[in-house]
Amino acid sequence: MSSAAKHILGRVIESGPLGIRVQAPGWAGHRPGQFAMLTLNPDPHYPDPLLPRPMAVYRGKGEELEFRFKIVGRGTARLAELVPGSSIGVLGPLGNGFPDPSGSTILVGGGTGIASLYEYAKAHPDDVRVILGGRSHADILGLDDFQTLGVPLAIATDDGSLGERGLVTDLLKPDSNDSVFVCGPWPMMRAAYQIASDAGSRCLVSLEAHMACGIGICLGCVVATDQGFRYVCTHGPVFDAERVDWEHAL
Amino acid sequence: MSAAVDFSTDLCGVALRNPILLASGTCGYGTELEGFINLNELGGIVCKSLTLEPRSGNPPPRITEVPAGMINAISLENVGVEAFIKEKLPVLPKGLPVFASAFETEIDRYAEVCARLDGAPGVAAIELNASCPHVKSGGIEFGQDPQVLAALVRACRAATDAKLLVKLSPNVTSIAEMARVCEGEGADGLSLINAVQAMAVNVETRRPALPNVLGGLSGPAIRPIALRMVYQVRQAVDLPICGIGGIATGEDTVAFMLCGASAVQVGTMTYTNPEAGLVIRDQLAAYCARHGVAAVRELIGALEK
Ligand SMILES: Cc1cc2nc3c(=O)[nH]c(=O)nc-3n(C[C@H](O)[C@H](O)[C@H](O)COP(=O)(O)OP(=O)(O)OC[C@H]3O[C@@H](n4cnc5c(N)ncnc54)[C@H](O)[C@@H]3O)c2cc1C
Ligand SMILES: Cc1cc2nc3c(=O)[nH]c(=O)nc-3n(C[C@H](O)[C@H](O)[C@H](O)COP(=O)(O)O)c2cc1C
Ligand code: FES
Repeated sequence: MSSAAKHILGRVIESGPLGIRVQAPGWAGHRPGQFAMLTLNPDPHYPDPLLPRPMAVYRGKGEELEFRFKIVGRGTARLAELVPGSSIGVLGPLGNGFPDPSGSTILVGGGTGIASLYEYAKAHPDDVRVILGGRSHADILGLDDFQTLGVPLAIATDDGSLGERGLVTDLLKPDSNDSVFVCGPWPMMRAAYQIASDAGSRCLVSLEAHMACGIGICLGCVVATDQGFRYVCTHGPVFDAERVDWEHAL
Repeated sequence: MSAAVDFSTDLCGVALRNPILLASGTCGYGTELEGFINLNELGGIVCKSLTLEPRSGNPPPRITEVPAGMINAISLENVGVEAFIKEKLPVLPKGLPVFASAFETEIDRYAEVCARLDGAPGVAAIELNASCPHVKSGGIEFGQDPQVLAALVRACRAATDAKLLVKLSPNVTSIAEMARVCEGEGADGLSLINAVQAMAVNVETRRPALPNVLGGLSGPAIRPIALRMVYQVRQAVDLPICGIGGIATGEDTVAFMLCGASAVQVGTMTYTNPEAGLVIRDQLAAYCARHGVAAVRELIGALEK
């Protein structure tokens, strides 16, 4: 557990279908790749939805945090509807995050997984190349932000509406000196790991799992690894890809 | 918090500074919550259930959310009783009542866990988690068959002089009967309820939401069931009761105490806020102030009809 993590009663600055900005007084700061648990309705008399939602910190400035998401269910739909000033529970920073670069690093992001990578690119613009993918143009979240950083950027979409038509992994051609950091859907991470491992490059993946607590007390968020089950919230979300048992999807 | 209210209570001879404990499986081994709350402000904690050897649980996904609740299929995952005694107990704050929870797949193994915990420094009492599937009875929970439950409590009673609370499974026809069985076999108290057996289906994939198919429902969704069971058990036996099930506020605590609980355990709500137990304590204080309750013990069994 990150000892700096706190449960904070935050305020919504603005929210919409693509993301939310939150004022989180007392936020301790975070590393790229760490996440928070967002409690939508922190009034325990009406806890609905009950469980907090794990979200990568897309970008933070002091106590102001930004999260980017896609509406996939009730929780994200409710997040998108929160009006400015509403209260929201923010538990974090959680998880390990990505390590500092040791040489050239290729960031590979698919869909909402892109949200875990932006601050890494921002912190280490000289060390990274970025490959982003999604079903179509609209799925490439944070595109403008990555472009503004001026980092080498390649894009693949399934329908060809932006960048190359195809998969992000079609664009991934690491050599053994590159590290490859990946966040996206399981099949994408698995394919990227295969490519990285064939090239002899180190590969780290940021995993998702259903979570209740985010701090190691529910034991709900396991991933199978060569060391047995590990908790995505406290041992991860970033794992060495070669330790993950890729046969067992989360 | 109003300084005038006396919060102290007692659970089968264990003095508690207030009636709010954290439930087994929802507070880890306590240490995970340090940094979020001062554990010593709680009435106590019930640590994750322990088996003789370290155990791993079910493959993921292990949890799914449902309206006002969640279903979990964690299974037996824990560090094992020896690691608990050597590594977890010594680092917990002194003066915090720590309840160690035992479960196993065979009666003699349950008794062995209790024997190992007997006299372990820092263990205030043992809670027997009777919601484990019993291999010899074809996988039904120990707490679902009165004869199996009786044999279990008898064996554990013989294995330890420690205070013994039995945590009842709600997945039974008559909770009162199970309570009487425990009283008859020398239990010192009862904790109720454990999670309610449940299931969810993903209709898009036409599969069970959890690969284990069945799981335990917890959270505010089960509170009225838990309250009903505490009420029925209070009529049936004289043992002290620790109320559990969907407790989310100070008012919920009051309801359980009025129905006969001497203390309560907060479970799932700690996932939504690691400080939930202390928030609930403060709400209980506000209730007492509002209603002129001088000592929280006055609430126990004080339901008006
Ligand atoms: C460490 C981490 C970081 C994440 N970062 C982001 C991000 O930056 N942007 C983003 O859009 N999404 C992110 N996710 C996924 C996000 O948590 C889910 O999309 C969200 O919880 C779905 O909630 P819902 O109520 O809309 O969906 P529902 O399907 O209605 O949710 C039902 C339950 O399942 C859980 N759940 C459903 N899908 C997922 C999932 N993919 N991962 C984990 N739990 C899930 C929910 O939390 C909830 O408990 C992240 C997940 C993790 C574990
Ligand atoms: C994820 C999870 C794990 C649990 N693990 C245990 C356990 O190891 N032993 C036990 O006796 N109860 C366990 N429980 C049950 C709780 O202690 C409690 O009885 C139940 O959740 C009802 O209370 P609640 O509605 O406040 O959560 C677990 C509950 C959950 C949600
Ligand atoms: S989310 Fe609870 S242990 Fe990881």
